[in-house]
Amino acid sequence: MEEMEKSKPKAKPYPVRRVIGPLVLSLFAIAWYQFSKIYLTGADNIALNQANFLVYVPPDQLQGYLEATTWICYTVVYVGLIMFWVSLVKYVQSKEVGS
Amino acid sequence: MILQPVFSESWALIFGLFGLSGFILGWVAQRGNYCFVNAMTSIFTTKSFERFGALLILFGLTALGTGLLVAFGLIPPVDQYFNNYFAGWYILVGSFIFGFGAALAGGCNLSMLYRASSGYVQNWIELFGMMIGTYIFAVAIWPFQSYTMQSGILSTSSGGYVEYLPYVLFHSVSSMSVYITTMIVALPLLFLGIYLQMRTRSKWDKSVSMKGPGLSAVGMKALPGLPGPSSPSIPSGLRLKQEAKDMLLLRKPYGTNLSTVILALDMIFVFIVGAGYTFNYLVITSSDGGRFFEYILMPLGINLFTNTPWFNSSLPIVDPSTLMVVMLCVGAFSASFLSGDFKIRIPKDRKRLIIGFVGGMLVGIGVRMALGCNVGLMWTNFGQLGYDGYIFLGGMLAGIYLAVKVQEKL
Repeated sequence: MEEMEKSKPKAKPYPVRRVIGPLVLSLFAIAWYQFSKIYLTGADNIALNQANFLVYVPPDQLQGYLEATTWICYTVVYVGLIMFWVSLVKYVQSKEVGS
Repeated sequence: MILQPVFSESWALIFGLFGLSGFILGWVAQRGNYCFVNAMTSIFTTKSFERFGALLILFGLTALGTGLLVAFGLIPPVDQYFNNYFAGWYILVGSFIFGFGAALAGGCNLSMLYRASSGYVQNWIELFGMMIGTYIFAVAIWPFQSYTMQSGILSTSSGGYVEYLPYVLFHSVSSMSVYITTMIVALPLLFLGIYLQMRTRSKWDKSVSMKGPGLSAVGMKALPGLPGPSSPSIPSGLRLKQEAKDMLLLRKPYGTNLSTVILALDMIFVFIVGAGYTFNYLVITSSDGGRFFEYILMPLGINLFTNTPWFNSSLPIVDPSTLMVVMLCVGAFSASFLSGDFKIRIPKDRKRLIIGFVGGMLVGIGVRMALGCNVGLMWTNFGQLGYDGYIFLGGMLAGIYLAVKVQEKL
């Protein structure tokens, strides 16, 4: 019986990268949104002050971009957190089986 | 000429839909392992035209879709030719440098992004090299190139409808001229693509049958792009159903031709969504190489657009391609994560990292010289019914051929 247990293949632990990955994705989405709101809006103002209309983005377009980025950020963060939760449960389960 | 929006969506919706198309692009390219450079490299290394044939089908389907939309009056012709670039020496030289660099670095612009998102460190390095290459181009090459473009030295100086094939062939942009040109461009590409794929497959079949029935299973599996040996006991309908289920559950990668069709539909989707908003094609290069380098420096208080050539005249601070690229990475990451492919992969041979960086720099210089990459210029231009795509294809093939020969010597 003991021999049989010994020969039983050990359960493969759930990789940690699969737990961290979705968290990084969610953080990336938040960082991207914040970057857009702070730096891209600031850069657009600089372009307007310099009257460089080749790089300047009109306010309605920039506003549309920020609005779309907000919604994408919400979606990616929620999906990322769901994926993180599922992966965390699997990781804990694999640890429990392993021990 | 001022464009009139065909559908009056809000800007937020436009940006959102471009983001969605980027997500689809990243997802499908990752699942189908779609790489323009690999498709062309395999011509010279394994003499396989399977993936190159798929590329031609992709170009043909795109030209057919966009051309028919215009020919039937659903989208005005101006939307198709508005972003047609100038043609000149720089497209040929740039695409050659791009092909050479991308083959060295191990990925085209599309595969670089989806592989970087799937954890390939070599492609991160390539991406960084590309940013540096773009900067080198901006300060060292762009002033000269822009002078030749403005002076018409080995360059056309108009772009737009002047380089629109219906206008070149018929001096008209009427529905009929667009329709005939669409057929002239799309059908040969489609037929040639299908023919090349069939030829390659029949060659594979022959080589498998020569190995004998005992070896056929091994031989079939070893050949890329083939579905593998099929059991005669399973009915084909059931097998197809199982394959579709496996693909949906991400257990199996997408086939080359399935990816081709989805990617062509994605391009057509963007063409419709962006109609009238001046930016209705999948465009990637300018964003990842140039704009993202600019973005990285912004938090450090450095704004390249204030004083650096090319950056101060060629890129708006943000446009729909920004979200397209970001969402491409998100899509590729999601596909690789959910399928279990995602893993940080550092090449064992560290020399690959240096080659990746140098190749990336060449990619950055090449794509900026050519005014676009394999997606933003070549594939897109087939959809625009222009002729720059053909020039790019020739230059890129030549560059890849040279890179294959150089790598054989190394």
